[in-house]
Parts: sequence; C-alpha cells; structure tokens
Amino acid sequence: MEKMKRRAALASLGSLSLGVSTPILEKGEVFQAPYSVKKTSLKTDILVVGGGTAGVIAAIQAGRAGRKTILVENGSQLGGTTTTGGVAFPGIFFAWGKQVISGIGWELVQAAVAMNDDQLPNFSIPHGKNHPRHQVRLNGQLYAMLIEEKCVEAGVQLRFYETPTKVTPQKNGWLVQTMGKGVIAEISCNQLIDCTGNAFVTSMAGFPVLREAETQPGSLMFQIGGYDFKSLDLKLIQARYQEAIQKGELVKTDFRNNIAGVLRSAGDNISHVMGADSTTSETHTVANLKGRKALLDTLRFLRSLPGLEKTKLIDMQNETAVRETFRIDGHYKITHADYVTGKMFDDSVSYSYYPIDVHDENGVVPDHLNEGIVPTVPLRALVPKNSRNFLVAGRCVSSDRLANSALRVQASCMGMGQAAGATAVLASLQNKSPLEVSIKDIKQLIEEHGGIVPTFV
Amino acid sequence: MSLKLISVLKLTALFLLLWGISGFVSEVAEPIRYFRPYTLALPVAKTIPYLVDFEEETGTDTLFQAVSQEGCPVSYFRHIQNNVCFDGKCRMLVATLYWNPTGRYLGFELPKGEFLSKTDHDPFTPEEYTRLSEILADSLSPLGTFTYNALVPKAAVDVQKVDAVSSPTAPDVLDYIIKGAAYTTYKLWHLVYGPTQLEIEKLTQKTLSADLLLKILESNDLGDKMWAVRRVRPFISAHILLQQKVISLIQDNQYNLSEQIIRELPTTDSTIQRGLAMAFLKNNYAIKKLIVEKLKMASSLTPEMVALFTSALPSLQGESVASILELLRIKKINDPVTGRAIADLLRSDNNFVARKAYDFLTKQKINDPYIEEQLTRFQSKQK
Repeated sequence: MEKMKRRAALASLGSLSLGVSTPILEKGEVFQAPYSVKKTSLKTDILVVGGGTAGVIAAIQAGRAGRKTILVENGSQLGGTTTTGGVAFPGIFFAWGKQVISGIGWELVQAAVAMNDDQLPNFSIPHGKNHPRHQVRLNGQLYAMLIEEKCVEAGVQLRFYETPTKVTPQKNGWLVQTMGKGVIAEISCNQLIDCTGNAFVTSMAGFPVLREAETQPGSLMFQIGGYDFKSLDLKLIQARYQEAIQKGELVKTDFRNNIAGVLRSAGDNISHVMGADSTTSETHTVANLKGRKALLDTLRFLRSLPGLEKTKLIDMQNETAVRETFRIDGHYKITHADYVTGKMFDDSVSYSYYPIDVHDENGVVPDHLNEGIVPTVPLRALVPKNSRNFLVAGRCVSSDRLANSALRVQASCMGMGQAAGATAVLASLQNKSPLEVSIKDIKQLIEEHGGIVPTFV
Repeated sequence: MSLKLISVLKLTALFLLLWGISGFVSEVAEPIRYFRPYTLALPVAKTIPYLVDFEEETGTDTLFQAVSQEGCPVSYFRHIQNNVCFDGKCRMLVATLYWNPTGRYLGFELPKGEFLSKTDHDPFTPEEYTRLSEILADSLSPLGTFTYNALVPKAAVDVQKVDAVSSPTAPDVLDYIIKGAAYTTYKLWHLVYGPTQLEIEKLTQKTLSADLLLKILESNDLGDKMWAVRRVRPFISAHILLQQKVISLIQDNQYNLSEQIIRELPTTDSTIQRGLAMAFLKNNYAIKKLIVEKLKMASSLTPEMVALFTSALPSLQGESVASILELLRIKKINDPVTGRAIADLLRSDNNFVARKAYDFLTKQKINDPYIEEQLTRFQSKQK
C-alpha cells in the first residue's frame, strides 16, 4: 500500500515536471500549433488597394458591374479619412445648385444620412464663402458599417489588416503580395487600382511618384466639452495661450495659434499635425504621437484656466488623418489653371468641386472658385505614365499642389473612385489597358451605375 | 369682428394716417423702397392688422396682413422705430419691413423724406440700399450667429444702439453689413428673421388650402416651394391638381425639393404611386434611390406599379436592379409573370445582376416551370 502511494506520488511528480514544458489541459482546451504565417494565392479580375474614400467606391463599382473584385485595406474598417480619420463631412457633391457628384458615393452618403435621421444641407444656397454649408455631416461609424455591407453585397472580397509588400508585373496584369496578421497573400489580378492615398502601390510597381518638399499638415479629429463658451474670458485665455507658447509649453502650430477657435468649435477639424505622413507605419506612428501629445498638452493647459477647469475630452479618433503625401506622375497633370477654370477634357470622367484649400502652419484661407466653375478629372490623370492595367483614384491623382489641395476632398475622390472602377471593369472585360478603353463606353458604364460624367455644354 | 381686432384697428388707424399707408403699396410720392420677388403676384384688396406680442424683441406691436380679393395673404408688414446713435447723437430708424406669406423677406420701405444713414449721418447711397436689401434677403447670413459685440468689438457708450463709433467694424463681418451702419444692418436683419417670421407662418397657416398651396408652388423662389411642400400632406390626397403639381416638381436639378416632396407624399394613393413611378423613370440615380426607398414604406404596390418596375429592369444596372428587386421582395411579389421577367435576368452578362435575380427567386419560391429551368441553368453555370 505504501509502495503504491509512493508510485502515485512519483507519477504525479512526473506529470508536474512534464507540466513545466507542457501545461495540463482543462476540459475543452486544445493545444494550438505554433503560430505561423500562412501563404495563400488568389486570383481576381480587379484588385483595389486601399479601402478609403475612393477605394470603397472603386471596389463596389467593379463588383456591381459583375467583376471579381478584391479590396485590401490595412486598417480594421473601411472609409479611411471619413471614418477612421473622423473627417465625416465628405462634401461637396453639389455645385451652383446642381448635383455634380452622384453615383455610388452619393448613394452611400444618402443611406447614412437617412439611417441617422440627419438633415441634408440646402444645396441651392450659393457657394463661394458658403461652401461649408454644403458639407454633409455623417455618422462616421454608421457610414463604415454601411459601406462594408455594400461591399459585401457587391461581392467584393474584403481583406482587412493587409498591406502590399511587393508588386510585380505579370502577363496580362499584376501579382501583388500582401502581408497581414498571420497571412501572406499573393493576389494575381488583371487590373490594379491604387487607392492608398499615398501612391505607394504605384511606387512599388516601379512608376515615379512626386511630393512637395513641405506637405500640408494632418489633423487629429476630436471633441471636447465641459465648459460654457459664451462665459469664457477669451482675452485672458488668448493671453495665457501666448504665454504658454512663449514658454515652450505649447506649440503654436498645433492648433493654428487659435485657442479661441479650438474652444468655439469644441475640437472638430482644427488640429494641425505638421508633416503628418501616412505612407509608412513609422511615419504614421510619428503623426499619431504628435497629434495625441498636442491634444493632451492642450487639454492640461485648458484645465488650468478659469472657466475651463472641467474641460474634458469627449471623443478622439484613433489616428491622425493626413491631407497630402505622394501623387502619381500621370499621363496628364491637372494644373491649378485647369482647376480654377473648370477645364473640360475629351477624357473627363468625373467632376470635382472644392475651393483651392492649402493648409499651412497658419491655418487655411480657401480660395473659392468663380461662379459656375466646376472642375473635371481626365482619365489620363488617373493613369501613371508607362503603366499598363493600372489606375489610381483619390488624392494621389496626378495634379499640381494647388489643384491637389481641392481634388483631395472626399466627394471628388468618390467620383474618381467610380470612374477608376468603371474603367477597370471595361479594361478587364475587353482585355485592354485603361487608356485603350473607349471614353464613351466608360462614361456609359458610369452613368448606368448612377454616376455623373462631365459633358460639354 | 372681435373686440381685440377693433381695438387693434383703432390703435393702428393713427399709424396708417401718419405713415400715409392706405393699402399694401403706399401712394406717397417716391418713398425709398426696395423689394424682392413676391411669392404671390396678386393685387391687394384689404389690410388686416394683428396685435402681436413680440416679447423681448419689441413688445406688443402691430403686424399687418395684406390680403387679396380671394382671401390669400399676399404680404405682411411692420412699422419699425428704433434709436440708432453715433457720436452721442441719436436718430430714429424708421422703416416698414415686408414679408411674403411664407415668412420670406420681401422688402423695406421708408416714409417720405426718411432715409437711412451711416456714421457721420451720411445717407445711404442707392447701391447701399440695394446691398442692404440683399443682406436682408440672406436668411443664412452669419449675422444670425454673431453677437452685436462681435460686429463692433469695442463700441463705447450704449453698445446696443451704437452704429460703429469708436472702433472699426470687425473685418470678418464687413461682407455682411453696410459699412458704417453695422447696427442698422444688424437690427433690421434680426427683425426680419425674428419672431415676426413665425407669426406670419402661423397666420398664413390658418388660411392654408390646396388652392393657396398651388399658388405658392408657382413661385420662382425655391424657399417658397419648400415651404409649401412641407405643408401639402393634409391636402394632397383629395386634390388631383395639387398631386400633379407636386410630383412634377420632382426633378434632377432640384435635389432638396425633390427629396422633401418624396418625403411628404403619402404612398397609399395609387395615383401618387404612379406619379412616383413615372418620376423614377425620368429622374437620375439619386432621385431613383429616394423613390424606391419611399415605396418600400407603402403598405402594398399596385399591379400597375409592379408591372412598370419589372419592365424597367432590363434597362437598369447594378444597384438600381438590386433596389427594385428588394422592393418587390419586401412587397411579397411572387406572381409567375413578374417571376419570369426576373428569371430572364439570370442570363445577364453582369454576374452581380444575375446573382441578385437568383437571390430574389430563391427567396420568393415561385412555382413555375420556366423559372425553375432558369434557376437550374444558372446553378449549373455557377459550378
């Protein structure tokens, strides 16, 4: 009996010592094989990289036209600047009393407005200085869910958390390698659309991209509360703000040197993160750190002032939204003169409408378009020089800096997204490169899917 | 006539005498007057005064309603008197403000010999009167959100009644005022868009009829049309002309108005359903979406509507097809004729459209050999 007890004790010691390297499993638990990065190969007609403002529309357009479509997004949700960036006012869709951007983009905006019982602005009011009144305010997170649903409905295969690591030309298309959490995918596609906003797929594919020596600042969107603006002593606050800047406690450019503006708007689109660049994880990390530090420092400062002791952060976006990084060197570069004169091209495929809007360290003073002017985007500006089966859509459109400052806004990006999606569909169906497709056919397809194409009056 | 109205008439008789106003349009020789387009271009038959408590704005005051022979409110007006001071000298701001029956600003008029003046008592130029009228017509002017102190940041003495004395007007508001007459502009704008507007809307509302709405809908002003459209619901089912007029205003180039109309229209009426379907066929994508969403709320679709939408399917693409199929599914349309038409979409070159048709047919389960054959063919093609 005693021997048996010793044996049992030894056995349990044995299992204990084994347990150092192999834990004892509770009921229902199983050991997982070591984490490894799985490799997968996929084939599609159209691959869209970047699930932001333009990419979502391009992918839905391609899916609804019946093409097999994959959309790769490196974040956790769709919508980009509108949703993750928190700039949930994607105007402007109407110009001079007339709708100029419609189609899939407007449909999605319309759906988000309806489901949130929001009120659309009065689009008949004059533009010029009234342009902010034409902005449609959305519930960004609702919008993120709606566009995801529409992508799925259109048959678009969504791949979140993935980013391209290699882009290789192949016969009749491209091979794009992406990497995400535990997966490396090799996606073979006939048509590739770069909607990254940073043109990095274009660059990886070997086509030149351009950027300014100094780019526009980004913005970290947030909302504050806990004070009564009307009762504040703005003169005192402004003086203390300037003192804090002089002492190096706050940075003048973080909030456009305008603390009253921060308080009046209770946050929103007023932060400026100088040099914000979303092109790489490292640069975007820097932009996020800078944006958050500026906000945190400013919150502490505000809470030290009379009337602002209870200032609190109500909401803040997860990342700094970026206005400007790289642009492609396209077959045509849209110039400032083209934009402000509303130049119509033989291959204009979408409209754009926004003032010239370059943010700098002092803020922004929009330069409004003259009455009746509605700029257009030629297809050639969406195609990198010397490329085949390749398109871009969104803010990396080929354009000079001033034109880009207006083209970059979300409604215009949606228009470009639909145009790029439609062009890729036809190129894929006809086994052509985008610039070989008939403009008439592209316009017809865009219109069939509700888009508005520029026409000579 | 009520006692209240009689007393009001007595009180206002003196005013009418003093101001020389004998009806809607003064007979006084060349008074300074600036007017915008009328909502209703009807001659005025009589003027009815109403004593209104405007509370904090001016206290009790008379609001006049100018009425046409048919009893339509053509316009409203109020006589305004307010002190405006500069350099310690005060002058009365005396003017008559006019509104349309929808509450929209109509114009202003000064009594004979009266004029508006700026700092140093300089009279307004004709251009400044025109500009003032434009400013007053801008219901969205930032004057609505600015405090008077923001207009004249360091104004001295009685800040509420001073017209830019000791400091320049704030530069970012110069576009919205007449320079040197900030208080005058500010005061008049706030009178135009103050409680008077609401009183006017209430009074017009009391006389509202389908005929009056039809007349207002003829106005060239979009704001007037919107005002009328927001009030058509109680009248529209019983008035075929009003229905036709309202539906005819659903147009591509008027998104807000079209959206408002579609929102207001009841969907129970078969004539209105038909009108919406016709509007669907002739308008753009954005309007089409609104119409389909509206019809989803209808308790049922008439057979005519079902046939009309089904026949439109082959000429449509993408989301338009999907949304119509969704409408038909919600309305439980499962007759073989409709089903066969939809089954033909299974042969579409566009796989998205074919899949939508497949989803519809498999959910509706229509017992028909042709449909079943098409479904089988589609399924085998997908393998």
